[in-house]
Amino acid sequence: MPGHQDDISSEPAKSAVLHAEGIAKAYGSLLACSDVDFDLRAGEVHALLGENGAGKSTLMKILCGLVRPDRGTVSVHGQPMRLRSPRDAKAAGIGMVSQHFELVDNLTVCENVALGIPWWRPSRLSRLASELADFSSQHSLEVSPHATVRDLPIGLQQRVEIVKALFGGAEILIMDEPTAVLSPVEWTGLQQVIRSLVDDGKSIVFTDHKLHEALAVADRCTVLRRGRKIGTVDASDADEKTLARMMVGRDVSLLSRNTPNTPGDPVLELRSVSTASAAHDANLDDVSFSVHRGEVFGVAGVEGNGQSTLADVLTGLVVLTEGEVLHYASPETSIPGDEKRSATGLIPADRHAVGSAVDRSLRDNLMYRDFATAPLSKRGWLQFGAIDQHCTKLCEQFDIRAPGLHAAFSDLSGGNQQKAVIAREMHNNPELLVAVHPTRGLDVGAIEFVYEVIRTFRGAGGAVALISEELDEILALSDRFVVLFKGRPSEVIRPDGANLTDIGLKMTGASA
Amino acid sequence: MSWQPTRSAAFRPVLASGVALCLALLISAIILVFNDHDLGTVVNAVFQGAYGGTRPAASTLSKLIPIMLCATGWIVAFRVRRINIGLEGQIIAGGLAAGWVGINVEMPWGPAHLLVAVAAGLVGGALYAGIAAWMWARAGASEILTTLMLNLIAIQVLAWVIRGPMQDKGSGFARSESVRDAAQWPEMFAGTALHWDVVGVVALIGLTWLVLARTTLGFRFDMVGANPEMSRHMDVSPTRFGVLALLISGALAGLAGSSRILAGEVTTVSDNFSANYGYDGIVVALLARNSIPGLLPAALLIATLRQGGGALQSRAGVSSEIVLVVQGLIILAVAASVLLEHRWGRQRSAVPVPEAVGQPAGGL
Amino acid sequence: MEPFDALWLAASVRLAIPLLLAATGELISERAGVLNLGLEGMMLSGAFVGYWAAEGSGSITAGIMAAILAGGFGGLLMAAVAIGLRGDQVVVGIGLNILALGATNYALERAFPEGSLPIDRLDPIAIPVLSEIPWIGGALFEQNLLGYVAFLLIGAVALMLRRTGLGLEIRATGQNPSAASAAGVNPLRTQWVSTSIAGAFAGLAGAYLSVGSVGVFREAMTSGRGFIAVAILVFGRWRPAGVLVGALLFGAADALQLRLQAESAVPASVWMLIGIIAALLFWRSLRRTEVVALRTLGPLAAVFVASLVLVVVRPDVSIPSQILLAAQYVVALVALLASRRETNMPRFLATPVPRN
Repeated sequence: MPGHQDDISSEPAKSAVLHAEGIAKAYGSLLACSDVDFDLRAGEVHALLGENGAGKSTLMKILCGLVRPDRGTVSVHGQPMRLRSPRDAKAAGIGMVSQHFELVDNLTVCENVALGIPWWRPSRLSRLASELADFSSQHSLEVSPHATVRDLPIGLQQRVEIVKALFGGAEILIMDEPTAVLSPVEWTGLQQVIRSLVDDGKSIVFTDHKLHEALAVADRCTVLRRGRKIGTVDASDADEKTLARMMVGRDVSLLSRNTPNTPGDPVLELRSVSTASAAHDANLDDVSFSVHRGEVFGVAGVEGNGQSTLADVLTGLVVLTEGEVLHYASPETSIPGDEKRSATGLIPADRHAVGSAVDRSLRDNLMYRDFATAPLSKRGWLQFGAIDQHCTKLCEQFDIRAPGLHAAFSDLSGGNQQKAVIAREMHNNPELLVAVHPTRGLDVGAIEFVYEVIRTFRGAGGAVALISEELDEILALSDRFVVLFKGRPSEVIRPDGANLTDIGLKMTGASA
Repeated sequence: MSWQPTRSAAFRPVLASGVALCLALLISAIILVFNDHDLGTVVNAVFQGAYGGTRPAASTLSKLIPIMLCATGWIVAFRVRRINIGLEGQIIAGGLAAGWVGINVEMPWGPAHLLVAVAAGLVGGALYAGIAAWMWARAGASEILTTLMLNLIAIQVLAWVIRGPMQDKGSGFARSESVRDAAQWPEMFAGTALHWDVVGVVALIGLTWLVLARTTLGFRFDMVGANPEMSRHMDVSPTRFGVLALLISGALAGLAGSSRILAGEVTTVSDNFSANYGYDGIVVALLARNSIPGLLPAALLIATLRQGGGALQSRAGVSSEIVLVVQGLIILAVAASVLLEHRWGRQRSAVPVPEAVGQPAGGL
Repeated sequence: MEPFDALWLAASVRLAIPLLLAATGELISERAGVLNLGLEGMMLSGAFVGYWAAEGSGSITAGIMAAILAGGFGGLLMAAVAIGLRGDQVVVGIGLNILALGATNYALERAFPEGSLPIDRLDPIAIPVLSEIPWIGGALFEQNLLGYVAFLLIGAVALMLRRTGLGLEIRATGQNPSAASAAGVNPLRTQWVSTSIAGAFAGLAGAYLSVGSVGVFREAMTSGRGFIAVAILVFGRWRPAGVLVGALLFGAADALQLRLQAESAVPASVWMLIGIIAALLFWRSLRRTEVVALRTLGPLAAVFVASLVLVVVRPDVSIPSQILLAAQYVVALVALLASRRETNMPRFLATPVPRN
């Protein structure tokens, strides 16, 4: 919409430290950014909001030289710049903190900072280390220069990224989804860091999809939708509702609470379950709970406290050292081992790494759970006629939009991919649904769909075990929940009248 | 490689392989010209050597057996993304087992002896691949490196066996006795290298193709190859099916080994009876882009090069080592052409390339 | 203690040097994320070109230089196909090996129809005083030039990896290429350079085999040393010190098998050695708590007891030379089995670097 920008950014960008005008970028036929203007004032915190695929990541990558725009100019302090590489951006005083930290985890903090110096120059690491220590304490960002990055907790790794950018001379800090990986406590810490950086005269852009976080720390918010800029508003004038409408283009009501429900018989029961073999997550330590028909049982907690171990336990992938997991068809009879998987639907945390095979067809992805059962196969032979019928039916039933059954899964949009995974897992009404971070990385529309699926399933008397880091999600969806910390569950909490501070403390183990 | 690609997508790899092949042959031609050889003479010598008469033609065709079996073995393992470089060693293991049974076992009924010897070859190859499979499943040792080592070990063990326990003491040469007549495949055409094992082998390769393309077992293999972590969540154990695929792969190579002994021009076990067919299998599988229907033309090409190349020295004065050079070039060109194929694919669909997904495959 | 004497020690070091040179190069390329299975072929071409140039020019130095260039060219070819054109690294490596085998055989037949004749080789240089030290003096301080160079190079490479900008880039590229590129490093360029350097090292290793130690070239004379060098990397956990130890161990195994070929019966000291190794491994497994490690205790104890029995009984057995030759590959297998899933392995080893 050129010529139709009624907001502040159309003013001449005198006070703007970073100004982008008419930015356009296409990947093939997909327009990631189309004629986007953006400016960042000195000493402000500017949130860039939008759904997945709205173009905010592309805009950020352009601003820090990782992607070259097809059209448009970027100027820094009023000087037009050609940012061809991160090196150019660095030279212009722009530093980036990516969502997936760009740190080499087997190097030390110091070595990560030194990376990129000329080849034959010895990296005088000891001198650099003391400089770095001084520098980071100046900015109250203490971090040990000789620590190996992979030994640091996530919050500290993020701090290393910030230090790295600032040490490289950055005046402008671009942060991509900085809160996605942080616990509530770490998020509070980051807010303080951001404020103190602004006090030091730095300017900060960050992307987010959690609106309350953006509003808590930003001075202004710019909203993108489908590659276009919708507008820029002052955070003091905005509320979550207006921003959500700008992002999605219509009203959304995600977080309405569940209607009360009377739970039925137990479907799943964990009795003092402990594990010892988890590799990248905490082991479970004496976990007991049961999930009943017509109820959503939530498991909250910060990542790394045993959620993925628990998910593996629920899907039978982990050997227990103690306790047992019981699946019931009816309260008396437990389900035999072979049928557990077909009686359980799984919406995995990462639909790419765990839920699907992206370079296989949609059809393959729709049949991965049930291919070995009739009518999809008979006596070990795949029945392609029945398979096509089955998959076409699933596509209609779950409104999966794709060029065809043989389209590569990677050509589908994220929402359609998630629908396909849900269709595969839910079509035969399993006894139990295990949903692990079911909305991670999805846009608002797709999240609505997932919530709808879970609520409908619960309404029809299904039992749901919901593992999520998003406390809002747990509060909105579950009937009862526990907080997992270092593999140990808290007592069972009901969302109504739950004390948020108390829950936050439980997530960090402070109450224990 | 999609499970069932659309037709235009299926054509792309064929074209890419064709381009790669032409490039490799072109470079080989340049090398020959550079060394003052007459190309016409060389090409003529290769074709005369490979097809100039019934006997050479039969020899060429008989070479298809080990080549296609090994290539099929590579493809089965590659379906679950296991890299079986140990086909050569598995040929040796299978040949040794088949040869031992063929020499030392006596059976009341002739055909049973042949069957048992062939089965011994299958089992021998599978067990030898099983060592690498076990090391991979148990300790995560890269099958790439272990199968390489096992190849080197097999060569030494063979060298010892035919100079020690299995040596034909009467002849004094480094070779075994001849396998008993009953354990030999009958000749298809008298006096030629072509034996009836061809029929069985072709049927077996066809069966493998069916299993991979149309059964739940093949689908499970493909699933594990597509995403092991997902397969785990679908109750399809990547370890179990990885091991199974390696065993089948080894069995196919072992069968190739048994044919080398039981249907060979010489029916003794001797040094180098595996004759690099294991590596030929890899070349052919790559050239065929891991598709079993594509194996025949690719294998025919390599068999022609091999048979015709053997006659190069006498007919054109060119060292037959040039065949190895051509093969090496083909592998390099085919490896490079994958990029070409992807380029074409991208232009066609004009969709942004998806981000790399999951953890890196990690060779070791 | 037959056969573990000074001669054996000297032979161990001598046989370790080509492995060390090749593994040092491979260390560079694998830390940068390139699995170079073509090492064997690059060594072979180095060995041939080294011999060919030395024979033609009459100068060993010229031979060595030519070998380095030949290996480096192999590395460049690997880089061009595997990095430039994104071919699968394992496949490209195999292709290079076959190509090098065919090319060297072909060239040998054309250039030396009568077979290769021995030429002068590098003389050992004894370092005064040091070479007089009993046992290790002869082993360590009477090397030829390339021998000393090999030890200097592993030290230099260790320093380079740890202390220079290039070293940081190499380590970063193999572990997290996208982080490297965010830091302004071009990971592809780093891989090109490291792969070429690895090739040059392999060429030098080949030269050591042909002009350095025997003065002739024989068909396929590298006989799997390139693959052993790759295994040494796994064994040495991608660390320079580990690579050095690994190369020496495999050199020692090779020297031992050569010595045993000359013996009519296996000396008791060899059984003792096996017992000691089993005991050491037993101790190592005992200290680990994982179930996998504990499972090895039984077999190791059995080996230990058996070796004790053999020491006492001293059976009059000889091991065929082929089995002795196979033994070092078995050692490599065991090393692969023991090193298991390594946290120290470069995460992007053999994985193409994602582009934007």
